[in-house]
Amino acid sequence: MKKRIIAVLLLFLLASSFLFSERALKGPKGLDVTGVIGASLNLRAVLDYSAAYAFSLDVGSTNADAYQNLETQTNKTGLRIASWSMQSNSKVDVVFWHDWLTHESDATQKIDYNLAVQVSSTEMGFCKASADGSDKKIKYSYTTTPVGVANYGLFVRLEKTLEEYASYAPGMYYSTIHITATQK
Amino acid sequence: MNKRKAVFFSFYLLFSAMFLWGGTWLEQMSRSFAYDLATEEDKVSVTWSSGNANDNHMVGDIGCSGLNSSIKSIVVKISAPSGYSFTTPQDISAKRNYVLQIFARGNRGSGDENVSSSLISCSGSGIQNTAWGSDYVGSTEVGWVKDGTLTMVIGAGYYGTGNFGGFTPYDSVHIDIVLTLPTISNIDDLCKADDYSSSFTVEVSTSQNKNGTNPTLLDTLPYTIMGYYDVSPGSSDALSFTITPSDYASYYPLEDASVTASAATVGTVNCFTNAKVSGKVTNKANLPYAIVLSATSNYLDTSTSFAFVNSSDATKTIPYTAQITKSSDYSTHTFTTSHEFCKSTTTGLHGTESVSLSSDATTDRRFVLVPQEDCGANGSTHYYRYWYQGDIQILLAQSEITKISNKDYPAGSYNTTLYLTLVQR
Repeated sequence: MKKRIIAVLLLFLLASSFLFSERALKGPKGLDVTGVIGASLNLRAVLDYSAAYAFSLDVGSTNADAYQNLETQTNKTGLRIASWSMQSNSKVDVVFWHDWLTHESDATQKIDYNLAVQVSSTEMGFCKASADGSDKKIKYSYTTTPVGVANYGLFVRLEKTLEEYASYAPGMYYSTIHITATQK
Repeated sequence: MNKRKAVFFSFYLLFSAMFLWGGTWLEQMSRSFAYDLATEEDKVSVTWSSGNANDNHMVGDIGCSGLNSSIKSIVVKISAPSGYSFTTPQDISAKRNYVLQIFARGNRGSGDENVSSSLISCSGSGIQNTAWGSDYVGSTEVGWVKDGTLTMVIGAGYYGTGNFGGFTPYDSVHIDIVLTLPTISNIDDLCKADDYSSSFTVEVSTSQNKNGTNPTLLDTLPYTIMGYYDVSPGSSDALSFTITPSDYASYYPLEDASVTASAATVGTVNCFTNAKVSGKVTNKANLPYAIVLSATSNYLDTSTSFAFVNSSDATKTIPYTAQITKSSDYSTHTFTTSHEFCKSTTTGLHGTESVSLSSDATTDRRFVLVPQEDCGANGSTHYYRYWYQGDIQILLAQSEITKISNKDYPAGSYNTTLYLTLVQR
């Protein structure tokens, strides 16, 4: 039986201008530090999700509750798939948008999903799929300089339960998340 | 004994008495150190008398011993500035609310007993038992809080009957703090993580009035609790070890000598255990925990120096030094100076220094010992925990600052990772 697999290929389009007999009990824990020289805008995204950047639509898949849409979920952010970081010494606007999860060989087979992005220490942004980001997008302005963002999360959550995707064509589905940072 | 000596002796007794009353203690249960957030309980059904609440639900207790007859009541104020909820840095939307249930207890030498108490105020969405008495002659001793601040007055003694109706102070008064995780319909909203945490504080005051007016603050004591959901908390449940980045971690201005020429904090490190009855550690060689700072994920690596690496050209590196330094008040620790567990450095460490954990603190090294803290005493019983909070700092040498000023390094971003490992010695 053919496996029904959805793969999310996350192409981050970074449109920035620059870019003793002792034993360890816990850790090591890493503390990332980014230094900057010169007028700079540096944007970076790293995929966290290790399963070949893919998650499965098969009913009963491991960890599926993290990304399928259940009735018991009222405030679910979704599966954390990536983190993003940014440094800028000027004010900056950042825009996130994404297209549909689209079947590898049949472009009519599309699946929408919710993208959630942490944009500050207390705020999240949300958007669904669009063709070019003109209508559905997350836009956030950073007005206090210098701007430093470290390892904020990006989350994916489907619109339906896995059972509701049973009729979709087997194969790989891809989507691209676009991140654009513009200095002001 | 001549007169001068007699006067001196009287003052000695007076000061001893002043320090005896009002002594506070804090105990945090190890078995309630990390909570399974999948647990769901009906808070209303969890009452002490029904047997549903027990030590497995208790966060711990806070009390006051050595009371004398001038103290008529103890005032306890509980607050949680960030809310009564577990949160995780993995997903800022994921929250698990909880309710604290407070039991007032007194001890007159024959074991704990319920204590009459009254509620002064409960802001926010706190829940108060309908049977609260108007003062400490009331019969109810329990209160709830899930939001805002709860302040309660606890009788510091009891009255006899008949000809023996005078006020007698308890040997000690304390509150038991019970945490319940109410049933919720959307447990699936939580994200899989083992680093949920929350904190609340308890202020303990005494009052010479039975209604708690004009209280004198004795102590403000913190509780930090951990939680996990859909993942094992690991083998060291009663041990927390966290690293929190600061603003300079996400943007360290290499060209700004006002920042780089002095030690700049890029993060903080916290480590603590539960508070429990245990012996005082008097020899630092017996402190069981150390935090090691290293330039690679192998904390024993002494061959790799700390350095920023250019994101476009890995051959362009900027060396720096790093250190862990104390940032907290260690007045309650069992060693008198921070130098006994954390040697201050002026130039920082390169990452290649010794990591022999049996060494003392008189030489530069890449680790600090986690000191023991005295959490107070209930009579002659002392409570201790291991607790450390410090800053992770980095520093550029003047020669590197000059090179940056001379444009010897290309513009761009430079990345580095510092590693911290909690080691049992």
